[in-house]
Amino acid sequence: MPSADQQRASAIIAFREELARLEAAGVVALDPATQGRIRAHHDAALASLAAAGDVDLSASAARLSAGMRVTTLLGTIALSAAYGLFVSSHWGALALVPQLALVTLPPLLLVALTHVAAARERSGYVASLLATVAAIAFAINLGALGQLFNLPDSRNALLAVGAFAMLLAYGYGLTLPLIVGIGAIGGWLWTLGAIPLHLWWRDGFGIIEPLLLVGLTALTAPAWIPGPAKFAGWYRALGATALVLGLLAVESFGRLSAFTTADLHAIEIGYKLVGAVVLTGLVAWGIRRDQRLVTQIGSAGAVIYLFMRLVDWFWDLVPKWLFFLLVGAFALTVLLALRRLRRVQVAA
Amino acid sequence: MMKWAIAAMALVVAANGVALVSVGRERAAPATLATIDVCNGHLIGGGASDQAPALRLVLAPESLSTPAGLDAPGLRSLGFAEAVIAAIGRAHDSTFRWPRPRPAWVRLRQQSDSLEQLAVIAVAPRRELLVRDSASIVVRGLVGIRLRWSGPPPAAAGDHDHAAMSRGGAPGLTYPTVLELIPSQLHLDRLQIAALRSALTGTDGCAVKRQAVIANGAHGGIWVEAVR
Repeated sequence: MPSADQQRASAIIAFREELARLEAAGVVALDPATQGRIRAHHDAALASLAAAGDVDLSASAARLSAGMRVTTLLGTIALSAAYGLFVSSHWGALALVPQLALVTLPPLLLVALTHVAAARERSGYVASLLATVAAIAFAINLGALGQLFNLPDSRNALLAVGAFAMLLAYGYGLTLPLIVGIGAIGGWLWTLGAIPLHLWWRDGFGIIEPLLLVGLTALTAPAWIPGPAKFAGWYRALGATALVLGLLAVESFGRLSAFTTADLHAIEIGYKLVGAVVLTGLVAWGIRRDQRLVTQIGSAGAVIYLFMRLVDWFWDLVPKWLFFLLVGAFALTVLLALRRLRRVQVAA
Repeated sequence: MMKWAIAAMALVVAANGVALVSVGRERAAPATLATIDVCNGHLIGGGASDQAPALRLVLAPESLSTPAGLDAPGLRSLGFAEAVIAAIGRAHDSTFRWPRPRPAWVRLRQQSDSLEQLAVIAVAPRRELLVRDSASIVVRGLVGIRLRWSGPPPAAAGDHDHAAMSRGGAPGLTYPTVLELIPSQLHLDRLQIAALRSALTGTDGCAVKRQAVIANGAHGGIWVEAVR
């Protein structure tokens, strides 16, 4: 998701390109003095944005940045795997104190390295990689302590790792640790549903209603959690994903509901109705607020939802060829409806 | 930015500190010690293995007798619904809703058979309700409902494929059981695993045994105190 700085830089570059086209077509002819003032103002703005952070000033730079993001993710996975495998291969040969040092010191060291990297390398890619590996190292630390002392697994490890990742994400404005933090704290909140049902915390992952609440909370979080503007899109995207996946799961498998003592069929029918309303609302909200990712996630969910309903209603009733013909006809109808809606919007 | 880094480091130190202090207190004064026989099949890891060295807690297959605490009042105290309790011991039918497992405390005693597995003696919702002695250990566990076959089970059905079981034709009886122990294995330090491996590696079944002293702490902790 582009940062506010990147959006501003992209707008300036797009303005320059469009102005050049207008001038070439003879639509507008700015006098040289005005043109010079605008160019000088934009040059200063771009220089300031480039100095403040990592901003792509051309399409090729943007492509390189995308490559750097993928490399950051791959590097994070590789370094985390290397550390985890190193611990497991040496664990059995060590005495207690070296064992503790092997799992306790790396997260501390990686936090220090994150601090240094954030100060020295302004793009934040290296800091993001180190901070995420630090969060995973902390998770390995807590898991290893549990194994070493035969402690029962606990949801609180998710809270601790999530809080740790959030501290690094907000402290240094890093996106990848933010995703880890939202995932871990979201997972912790999800498992809280096990408490009133007297279940072991892990079985909380088998109950969907808390996941729906977590999704709603994440969707609205940017409104009440202050932070960098680029974080808002990730909260909304992960919240929308949780909502969509939760609804699609529970409307097909009513036993995933917390209310399994009620009629499962009634639960599934109820969530089918809720799903229709929520998925439509999610798409509408995304369009109205210009949240592209939320709109896309909501649309993908709505398409899967509609396909599942078509299977429910027609799969056993009509021949298979007719079923897929109906699905194709339905897709064409939706396309035509959306095209008409777009025309109405453009005309307005 | 430095304050965020310090806060993150403080969180790591605090989480480790809390765990180490509570474990230290627990281990300073074990509440009970129980000796169990250890066979080669109970050991995990050690030597060149990538797995952490540990002693597996192997549950014995359920016997026909119901352990204390898994009768109707016991299941009620664990939070199972009345409909589930009423269905225990009856033939499984398609309307039965498989309940989610419930956490419990489990008292285990080693069987003196050829495999030296651990049999469930008693189950309770709280640790204090279980009697402790030098012949048994107490751990957390998950209690659930399973099917017991009165005839040969359908070949294709796995342990947890209830739908396949119910289609198989052999009438099954529902019964409560301990599905999982938490933890399912106990950590062995490098000296303990070395001693056990040197004595037991290459031996079949429980032809050769060693002993492990298992300690239960006053607050639910469990660990291998010694091996001999």
